[in-house]
Amino acid sequence: MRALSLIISSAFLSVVAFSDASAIPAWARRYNVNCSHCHAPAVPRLNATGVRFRWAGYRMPEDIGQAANVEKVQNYLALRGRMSYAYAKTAGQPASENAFGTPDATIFYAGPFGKNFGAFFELERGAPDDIGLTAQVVGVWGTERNHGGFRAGQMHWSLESGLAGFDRPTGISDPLPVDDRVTAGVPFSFGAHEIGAEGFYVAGRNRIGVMVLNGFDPNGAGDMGDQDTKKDFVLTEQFLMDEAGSGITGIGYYGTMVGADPLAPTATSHYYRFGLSANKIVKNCEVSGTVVYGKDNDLPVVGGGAFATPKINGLGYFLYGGYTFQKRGTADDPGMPLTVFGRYEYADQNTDVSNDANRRFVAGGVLPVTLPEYLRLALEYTLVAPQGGGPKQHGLAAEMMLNF
Amino acid sequence: MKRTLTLVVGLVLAGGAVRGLSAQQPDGQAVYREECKSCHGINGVPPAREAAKYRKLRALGDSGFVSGISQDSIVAILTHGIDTNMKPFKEKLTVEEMRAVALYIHTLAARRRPS
Repeated sequence: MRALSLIISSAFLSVVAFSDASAIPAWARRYNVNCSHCHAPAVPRLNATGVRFRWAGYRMPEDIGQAANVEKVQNYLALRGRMSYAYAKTAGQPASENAFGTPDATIFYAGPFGKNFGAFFELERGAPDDIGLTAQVVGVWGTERNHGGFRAGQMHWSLESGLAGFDRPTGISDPLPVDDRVTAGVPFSFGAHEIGAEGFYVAGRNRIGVMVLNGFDPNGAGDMGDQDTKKDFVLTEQFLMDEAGSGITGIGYYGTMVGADPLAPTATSHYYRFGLSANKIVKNCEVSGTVVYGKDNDLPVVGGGAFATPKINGLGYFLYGGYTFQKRGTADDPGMPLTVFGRYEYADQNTDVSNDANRRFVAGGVLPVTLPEYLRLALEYTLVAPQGGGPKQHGLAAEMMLNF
Repeated sequence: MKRTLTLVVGLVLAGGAVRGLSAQQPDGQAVYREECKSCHGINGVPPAREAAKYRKLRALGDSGFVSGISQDSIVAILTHGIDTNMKPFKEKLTVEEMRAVALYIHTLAARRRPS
């Protein structure tokens, strides 16, 4: 029953959840380039230049060790607003959503400072009375090709800080297997913010990182202050395959949670998560595949509690294909490279229960308009089709994203 | 004595004026490193990542290429940009700064000219 309620809630969220994606036109101003210098096929997804810029602490890798000019506020400050329309309907029922919305209004202040440091601050006003925060400081030392350092704060620790399927989505919504919980046990998500610190090293096209994080609370929040004192540990590896931004991301996570079930508030559970994703971009085409796996151990089994077994395994994957129609423009107008894409997602939050997975089909298009691509139009259709014959749900989302 | 004093004062004032004038001249190298380096490279040789992305990106350290372009042409390119790839700098740099950069680019090319 719990699994079924999770699937239904996931299915509903899957239609209306807008990705927490960011793009910083301040840096386009700083380097006097179009957004396509760092983003492809459309903001906010990154190409190799954008990936290296992020790895080097929000500066070009050759600028590591050179003093940054912090006096020009316009090189650091950016705003984003998103306007949306969402429609959702479950088969045989009236529409559950038919509304215009403003998924967020966000202020960014981000960039390099000193010779070796950078910072990223993001205040995002989403729902009423809900202000999301990303705040991290990065330190980087070394050469353009080989450098290492740390980052610390409240951050995107995996989703939206990796390559391939762990980068930002091309369309509007994040894929379920990485944005939703992986198992029906511990409420872990690759997409949730977490608080902690990372040490990393970049050697050419490879970036390896080790993180120590506070972990998640029993409600699945990673940024609300974990109630227990135990830490979670993460190992990540990113390999940048080519200049188009093709790459591979591997993630291993070991976590501990106290009080996964409110009826057993002192019980300690342990869990593992693994993620592997790769994409390849050839000219205007892109294909991508991502798989995630979760294993929960020592879940508290108490009468009337949330868990029937002490162990729960989950598995998810998604496949993506996209094509970009290039339109040649001028220096003042880089054209409108329309990208169309499709995605198939599969999320089974309990592999021991057969025929209960959630499946979602996503198709859409993204169109950067005018210059310098600060206005992005996106349209996305979703079909949620749970295994086992549950009701299908159709969704349509449109979004206008303005960055300046 | 009076003539000598007048001459000394005149020379000091003239020297100050020259120094003041030179202090106002934009530093082409500094402007280049601030605005051009990330794409064209610190020595006029584009980083591999940029060369791979922008097929038409030319090496400004290539003396054969640069010597065929006048400083006025470089200023015109900076003013209006090229294709989709290089945005205009007319709102970011003054004409004097563009001229200083154009001069520095010619210096870069001359420095890399094979002897």
